[in-house]
Amino acid sequence: MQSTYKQAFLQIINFLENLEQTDNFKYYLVGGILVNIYSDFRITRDIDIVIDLQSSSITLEDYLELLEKNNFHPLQDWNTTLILSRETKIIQYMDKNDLIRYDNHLIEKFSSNKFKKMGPIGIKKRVREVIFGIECWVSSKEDFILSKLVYGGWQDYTDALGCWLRFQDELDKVYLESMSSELKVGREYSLLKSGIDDPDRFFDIMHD
Amino acid sequence: MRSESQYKFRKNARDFKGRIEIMKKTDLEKIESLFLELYDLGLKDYLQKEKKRYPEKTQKQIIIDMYRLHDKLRRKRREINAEHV
Repeated sequence: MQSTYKQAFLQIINFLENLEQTDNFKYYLVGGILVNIYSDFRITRDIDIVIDLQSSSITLEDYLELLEKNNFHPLQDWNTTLILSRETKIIQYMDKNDLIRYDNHLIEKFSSNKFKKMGPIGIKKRVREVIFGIECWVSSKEDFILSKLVYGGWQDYTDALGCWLRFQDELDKVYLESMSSELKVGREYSLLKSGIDDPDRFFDIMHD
Repeated sequence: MRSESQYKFRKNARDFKGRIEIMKKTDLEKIESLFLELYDLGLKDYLQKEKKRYPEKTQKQIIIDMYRLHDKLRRKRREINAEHV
């Protein structure tokens, strides 16, 4: 029998790939699932996706209707999902088996919030990857590192450090240099480049 | 700041650099297969335990509560990190 996570993954990717064919809709995967392909091995529970509704002709209400039609399930009911996602800018819902939660982070193009700034940046440099046998859009390695440096927790630094150690020869360092300064994580990026290989030390230097 | 001996112990115990070296040499298909296997085992085990503790809860409610707890812990971790700054 197919894994519950894989079933849920294929359900959402098929749905999003179909939407990509219409209405200028764009998405890319972020979060824990990417840690495995870009950094260290880790089990994640949910599936995090950034979606750009602002640039498409799909409204939030349309999107929720499409989810319902495509056999996704609400946590409580779709109306509550709509109200909460308007407030939080995150749409949370479940797969057809009610086992896996999806978090869809809505892109806000002109937000001054440093965490929200990564959304539109990431869409420009998103890349195609094959995960669980299906081709999909994912955040680039460079944007994966930048978002982790912006979030700035111990786990985030660990993930960024893992990606740097694993792929430093192929990363676009000019891009990382300029974007880290724009996102005000230049100090974090300098530390990453310094040859540090211990997450504890990284975290303590940044936070002491 | 941790003491130098704490750094050394934690660094050796975790062997982060070694883990990343292994990741470099491991095919994505193998990582995916291990991920799916461990995910399913963990979920099955969690559902069984929670069903025993709360027989009146539906499976969906158990899952929703699991995510709630997960979010709460993540928020707590972020708050602790912020206190360090």
